[in-house]
Amino acid sequence: MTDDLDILLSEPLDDVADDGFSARILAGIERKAWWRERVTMLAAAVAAAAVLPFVPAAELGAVAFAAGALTLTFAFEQRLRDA
Amino acid sequence: MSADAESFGRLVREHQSRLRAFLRRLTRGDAALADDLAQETFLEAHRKLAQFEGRGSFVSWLFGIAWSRFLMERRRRKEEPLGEIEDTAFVDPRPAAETRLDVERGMARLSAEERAALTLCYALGYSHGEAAGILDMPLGTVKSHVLRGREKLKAMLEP
Repeated sequence: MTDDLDILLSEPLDDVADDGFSARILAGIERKAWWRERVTMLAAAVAAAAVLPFVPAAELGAVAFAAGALTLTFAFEQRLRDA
Repeated sequence: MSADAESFGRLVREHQSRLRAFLRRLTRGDAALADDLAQETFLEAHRKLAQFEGRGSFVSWLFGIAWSRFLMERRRRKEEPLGEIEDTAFVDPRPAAETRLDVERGMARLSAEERAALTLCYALGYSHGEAAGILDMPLGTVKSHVLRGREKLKAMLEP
């Protein structure tokens, strides 16, 4: 009995067919990534809008250039990570 | 699809069957609940992938997340415990036979801790030490769950 029980307990668990399970997980991950990207962009836009009134008009061009460079750097880094 | 999602997808496809089967045993065959827990497990694993320190195997880490998800669900359903069953339930009038089905029925009468420990150490082939890591329990506790669960099963299956 003891040996038989050990054998029975050691039998591998039944296979569970994927049936779209993996695809659902990946879709969920993609959806979350999409939202995260949008929320990040929105947060950046809100922060920029909040700061803008305090930037002297003469320095607006330089600030816009710096913000653009920063955005491009983040976008490039994201692309590299995804590649 | 990003490369990150693609490589994680390979991990999901590779391990989904064992993880879902483990959770089905923990939930006493509730496939829908087991799949919900498996989905939460994979999403949490993806979120925390950077925290995986590579000290154990990825699969052990995944099973550890699944176990803690199961425990959270059990706490949430206080009024309807997932792991425990009254001794009067699942009484099989047939004479005990050494079949796989009998083992599954017997398993359903064990505590969740005993089911998890027995499944990890026997069906999934983990050592007691690895199972202790997955279940976040002291080694001695895992050993006693295995021993006690096995003794209970033996008593249930013996004529």
